[in-house]
Formats: sequence, C-alpha cells, structure tokens
Amino acid sequence: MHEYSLACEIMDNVISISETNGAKGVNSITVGVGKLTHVNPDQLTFCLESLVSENIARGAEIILNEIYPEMECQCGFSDSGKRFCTTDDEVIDDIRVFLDVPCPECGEMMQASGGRELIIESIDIEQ
Amino acid sequence: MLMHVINVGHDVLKANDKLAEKNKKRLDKNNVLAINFMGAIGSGKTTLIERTITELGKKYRIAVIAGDVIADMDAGRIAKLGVTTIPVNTGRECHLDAKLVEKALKSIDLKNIDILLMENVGNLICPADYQLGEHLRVVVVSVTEGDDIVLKHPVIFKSTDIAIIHKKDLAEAVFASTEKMEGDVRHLNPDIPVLKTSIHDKESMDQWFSTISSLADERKKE
Ligand SMILES: [Zn+2]
Repeated sequence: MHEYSLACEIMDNVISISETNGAKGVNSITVGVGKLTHVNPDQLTFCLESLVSENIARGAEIILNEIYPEMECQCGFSDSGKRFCTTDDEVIDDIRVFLDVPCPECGEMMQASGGRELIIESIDIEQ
Repeated sequence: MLMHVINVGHDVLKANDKLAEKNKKRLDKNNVLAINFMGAIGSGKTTLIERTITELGKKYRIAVIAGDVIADMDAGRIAKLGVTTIPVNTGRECHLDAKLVEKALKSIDLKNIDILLMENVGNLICPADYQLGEHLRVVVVSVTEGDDIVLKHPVIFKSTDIAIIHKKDLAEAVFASTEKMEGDVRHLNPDIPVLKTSIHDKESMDQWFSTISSLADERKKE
C-alpha cells in the first residue's frame, strides 16, 4: 500500500506551509481521506505519527476525517454515502458499498461522486 | 504563543492527477497514444504487452515504460523486442504515479513514437488511485485468478476503459466462468469493451490489436 509515501508528501507540505507561516510548532494536522481511495486511515495515521517526531511538527496531533462520496441517481435522488454503509448499528467498511448501490427511490444503480480526496484540510500552528 | 489554524485544502491525490494532465498534454502534442496496463502479477500482462509490440511494432513506433517494484525483470523481457524500454523502479511503491512517468518521458523521443505502453506494477488495488496521463486504461485479469476477481476489485474496473479477461482457454481447467467475469465487469462499468483473450486464440488477439491500432490511427502523425 502507498500510505507511507502519501504520508511523506503530506508531511513535506505541512512543513513547508508551517515554515512559510513562521510557525514555532504544530499542534495538529487535519487530513481528510476519501472513502473511495484505497488509503487505509489507520495506516496513514500511523505513518504520519511516525513522521512528526523529528521536525517542526514534533508531537502534533493527527486528526483524520473520513470523506463520504455523495450518491446520486439519474432520477434526481441524492444522499451522503454514509447512509448506505450503515445498517442499524453496524457500519460496513468496504469500498464496494459505494459502487453497487441501487437507488432507494427508483432502484437504478447510483453513481458515487467525490470520496476520492486525500486532502490536507488544516494545520494548527503556534507562531 | 499564538495559535493559528491555517486552512490548507491541498489534495495530494489531485496533485498527482494534475501532473498526469501535464503528461497527457505532452503526449498529445506529439500525437502519442498512451496506454496504462494494470493487472496482477501472473495475469499475463507482460506477455500481452510483448505480443502487442511484436504485432503492432510492424506498423507503429512503440516505446514502453515498465514499472516494477524491485527488479527490472519485465523491462528486460520487453527490451529484447527491440523497442525503447524505460524501466521504472518504483522502490517500495505499489504503483506507477504521474511523477515517475513524467521523469520517464524525458528519456523517450516522443516525436518519433506512436504508441506508449505503460506496464503498471502488478496489483489491482493501488494503481486505481493514480492517473498517469494515459489515454486508455486497460485492466488485464486472467481466469486463473478466480472468477470472483472482478467483484473483489470494483474500483479499478469502474475506472478502466477496456477490460481484458485473459487466458480464457484455461477457464474450464480452473472452474472459472468467463461469462460471470464479463457480467461482473458490465455490471460495474456497462459501457466499456470487454475482450476475452488467449495468446493461443489468434482471433481474440487480433480483436485486441485492431482495437489498439484504430485508436492509434486516430492520432497518427501527418
Ligand atoms: Zn433513482
């Protein structure tokens, strides 16, 4: 999997943005991970945590937000993908639940839009 | 100490796609048709590329970017066919990305190339997240991977332009149904061509070759 190299790329960006903004330290880094990427959030967090030890971001908290795709149907129906991977109290954590979903209104196969992001949302720095 | 939240909004996967667009522009400028071959190790991807070079090499000038995790074994196999072959050692990475391709493109004389074949690293997961600048994404699966292989990897089949169900002559021996595999692809991606091929079935290979040559002809140089 490619979590490590993505974590490195995120960290390079975090460091350069922090330096540009005259940061003395970084409190937290918030990253959004699309549910339709093959990025494993736990592995990404682990890689990021191992990378914040020896630089300006030392000790920074890693906050990961999962980004759900929006499910859209030709008939006009749309809803967050979150609705379709939760049954009662069970969450189905499988990329497939977004790719093979019949529309609750008309039964046609829906399209997922979004959910392919891996985005550095914000950095909380000390100046 | 002052605390300050900076809204960044930098998408590292989109950054790859943007670079891929740049690669594509470069290829377009030179009328090169670029194909990204994705498939697991053992899917028959390399053999299919070799046959494609042998057949289409009669009519087109071909170059190859061969991605490989550790060795340049596949690149060696392909280079024997006498086409420009750029081995890309992806190191610990499980996929080619736009940056690696950008670098490889610098070693290829694009003006004198008609078709660029890019052999991705052998898995059906990671390459799905990365655009390279290709015009055509091709997924190769063989019946020997089991006929549930398509449904196990829906993302890559959603994002491909052609699906090849390879080694079809072995289907019976491994209790795989090519009809099921084709049906699964169509279910995920109804509009793409699904080719069932075997290197032992000339007709099926010709179908593949003509698919590619008609696309290459569309961009043929004056
Ligand atoms: Zn509907």
